[in-house]
Amino acid sequence: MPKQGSLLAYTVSRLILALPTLLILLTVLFLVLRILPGDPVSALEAGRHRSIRDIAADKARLGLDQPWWIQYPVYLGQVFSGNFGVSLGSLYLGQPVLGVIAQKLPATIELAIGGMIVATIMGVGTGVLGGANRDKLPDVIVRLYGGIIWVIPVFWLGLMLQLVFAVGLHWFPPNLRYAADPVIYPPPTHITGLYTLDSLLEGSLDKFAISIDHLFLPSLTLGLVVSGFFTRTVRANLLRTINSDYVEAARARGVPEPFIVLRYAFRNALIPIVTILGLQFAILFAGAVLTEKTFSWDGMGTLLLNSIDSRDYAMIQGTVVVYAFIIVIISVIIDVINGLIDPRVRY
Amino acid sequence: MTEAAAQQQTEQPLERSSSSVGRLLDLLIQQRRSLAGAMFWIGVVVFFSFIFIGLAAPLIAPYNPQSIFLTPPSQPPTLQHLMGTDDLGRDIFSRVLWGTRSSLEIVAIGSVLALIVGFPVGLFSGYVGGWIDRGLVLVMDSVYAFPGLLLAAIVALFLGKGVFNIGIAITVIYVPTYFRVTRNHTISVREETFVEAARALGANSMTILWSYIAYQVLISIPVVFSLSAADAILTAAGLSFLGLGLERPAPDWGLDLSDAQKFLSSGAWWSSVFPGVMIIIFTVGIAFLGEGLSDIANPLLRKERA
Amino acid sequence: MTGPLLRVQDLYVHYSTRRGYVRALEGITLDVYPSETLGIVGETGCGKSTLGKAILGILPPRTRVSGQILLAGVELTKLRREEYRMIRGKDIALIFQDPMTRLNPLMTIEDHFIEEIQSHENVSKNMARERAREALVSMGIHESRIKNYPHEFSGGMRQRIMIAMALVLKPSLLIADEPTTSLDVIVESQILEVFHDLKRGYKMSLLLITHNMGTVAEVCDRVAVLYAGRLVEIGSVKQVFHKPLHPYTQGLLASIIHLETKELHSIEGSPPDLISPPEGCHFHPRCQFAQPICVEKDPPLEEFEPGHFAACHFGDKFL
Repeated sequence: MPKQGSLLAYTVSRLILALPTLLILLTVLFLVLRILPGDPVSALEAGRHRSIRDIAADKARLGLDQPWWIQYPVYLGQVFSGNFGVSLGSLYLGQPVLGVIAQKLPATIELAIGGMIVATIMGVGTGVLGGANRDKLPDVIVRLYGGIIWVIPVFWLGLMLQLVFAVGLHWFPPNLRYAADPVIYPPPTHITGLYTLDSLLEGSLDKFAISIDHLFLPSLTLGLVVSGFFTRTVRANLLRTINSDYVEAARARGVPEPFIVLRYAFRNALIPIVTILGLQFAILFAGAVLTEKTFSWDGMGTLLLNSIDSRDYAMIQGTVVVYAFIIVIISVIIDVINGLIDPRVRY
Repeated sequence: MTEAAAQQQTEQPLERSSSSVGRLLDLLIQQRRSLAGAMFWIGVVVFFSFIFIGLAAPLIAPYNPQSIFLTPPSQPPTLQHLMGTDDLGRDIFSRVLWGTRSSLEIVAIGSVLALIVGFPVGLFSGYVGGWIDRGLVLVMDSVYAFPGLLLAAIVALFLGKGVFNIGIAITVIYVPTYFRVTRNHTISVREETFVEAARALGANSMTILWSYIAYQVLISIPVVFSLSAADAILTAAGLSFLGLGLERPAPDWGLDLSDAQKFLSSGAWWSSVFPGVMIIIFTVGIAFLGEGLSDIANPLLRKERA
Repeated sequence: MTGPLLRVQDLYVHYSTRRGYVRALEGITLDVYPSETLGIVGETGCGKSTLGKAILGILPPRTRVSGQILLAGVELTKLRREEYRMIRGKDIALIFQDPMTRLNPLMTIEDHFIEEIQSHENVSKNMARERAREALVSMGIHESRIKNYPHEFSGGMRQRIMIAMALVLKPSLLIADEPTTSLDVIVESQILEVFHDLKRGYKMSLLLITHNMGTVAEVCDRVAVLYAGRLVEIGSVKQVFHKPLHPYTQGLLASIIHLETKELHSIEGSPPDLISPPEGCHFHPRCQFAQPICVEKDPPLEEFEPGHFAACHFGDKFL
């Protein structure tokens, strides 16, 4: 059977299936942004003292003076051509929205990857520990961890880690992506935008150390909170697979125990985790916004908050639409990974 | 399969009582010494304590949460100020107690609205099936996949600050959750024999939906409620922390944490520790309630389906 | 007759559950001779499957096991873990009831075979693959499908694969635990055909666990009847079918549809709770011949005619 071909077909089918999701998300955002409160510019202008004529001009520039059936196709056209207009806020006034987003995106991606690494290590580690020691003390501790860690407010955990490890012990810098003074410590040259990766590409271990130093606490904060879900799922799945029929059958065939644990129990336990991983990214990105604020991390979340502060309608719209795209793309990637490791998925 | 049969017997030592709600109550009381049972009852105690604190805040708070003391601000905890004072010189203990109030209000509004929208739509979708169901599932799943906090932030931005508006903003996040659970449970109940029997006896669709299915599906609601309520508290606090929730100087956990962050480097740990601890105790309580309930109710749900 | 291949002596198995110990097997003693097929029959929950798992030593942890299990004179329960593992699959193989869930969904059929062969023998992957191919073909599965995953096969085909896997290391004892129960009638008869061929082709003993008396009549040499964890009757198929000595066996035989009268008898009542089984003879609450002694005294297994044993106080009345 040509596996490559079917995987490709599977990937294409997932991409096609993702389109409705994307369209629905874009529509929901359109509704929230334009329809919900009457009109957004007036809502946003509520705090500012500007003339009615200025507001009308802003609306006209954004096309918001049109009825929704004209706005909607224009909006979709903008979204799919990548033309989100220019910033209206004081911070990035006149700059193209997408350009600003592209500058901030790597910081968020770096934080999300760091968080996912922490979450995976902690979650899989504790989950296996609990699942392998069912109802014994480690399992009880793991169950409590899994039950409590996800309800800790991510921003509060960040503040506490800052308080202890930055303010108290001085082990890590309290905030920012990189050393504050760009003259003494110039950041790595922009290649991918991920500071850790760029500094390695540049060959500078010093810069890498500084980047990791700054990345550590935010990643830990975000990762710990997300890890609770992994802990619970890994534990539950492992309990299920360890007691499964195929494990018993493998034992009856005299397969050595380490193989049974790895090839049968563990591998099968991980599959459903990959499937639901996609939904965790929603939580991860929501958590990332709060983490960014807590650690003054200059990424997408901070950009969105700043745009809200400066009433930058174009930028707000651009940011949330980019979030929607990221979510959909990640879900496709996860489906494909799932198809790679689970032969039952693709056919 | 001797052991399987034995397991089933041992895990279901319940007497048959009249309704599923009654059976659930029996189980909860019977299993109070198991981990799940203990979690549930701890959760119940915490939950009602917080409701009490929220209602009685004006009576039990030692000071007005807004009043500013003329002693130097940011005092560490003392006997006068059990949790110290914040950067403006307000009593943190009083603020933390009062903060329970807004948190409760927001969660109540958000959960009830989400239930009002999500439950009937899920019931309908699961019952009619077909393309309507598929379409609704797709829409709800799409919304669910989007970071809830961001969605709520945008809605809150346009609706403006305040308890009621934040409650509505939070509703948007949890409608898909209620929808999903209700719909899935409806589908499994729909296939059950008693519904078939009702249909055979000539009951019309609306009667079946409301008097047979809805009643059965309701049993899964407390679990969803507690798990989403815990999350809603976090989201509400998050919105306030981001400056999109309540208006200063309202006593609010997220808002107070946002203020505390600015003075973190001075080492005033008390102003950030206590509001956070309050959030955690509350959310852990509700989450325990939900966890325990779902652990105990799940075999029941499974049995009902089997 | 030479000595038995497998000797089970006084085997007790008690599962630990939250409500107490489930007495799944209580003092089972039986022999399986080389090249013979012994049927084990009884209702669901009588301990049949437990017997197979106990012989292989794959009962769940915290299960209490006592008694002896000897394979060719070797006491299995005293073996070290690694030694016992080497016996499983190599000397004793087990075929399960439900082929749909017994294969790892993430491994190809070939992976399963190679893993099993290499768990027991020091052979190259290619050698193992070659033997896997032979085993599959002998079970009527085309060799081109060796790289397929379990979900790509039907239930009947999977059971053939399971049988091929059980036979690939040429075990001296094959335990088949209701191998056809979950399959449809046509596939069932095909699989039974396979067992017929096996008896001719391999010099192997077969322990066939089933609840179907018809299957027993078709395939087995001797039959043992289990009720509520106890052996109530054992003898040659001829003896047991013609002169069932235990009322339970009589009930089982009566519950086969009689082709002439078209009557279907069933045994009233249900099997007892194995956590607190009834006093005396476990069958007495359902027995139409029950006497006061049946409640008081547990009947021992007695030999009523050569090779035909039963545990009933009134066994001689039915002779």
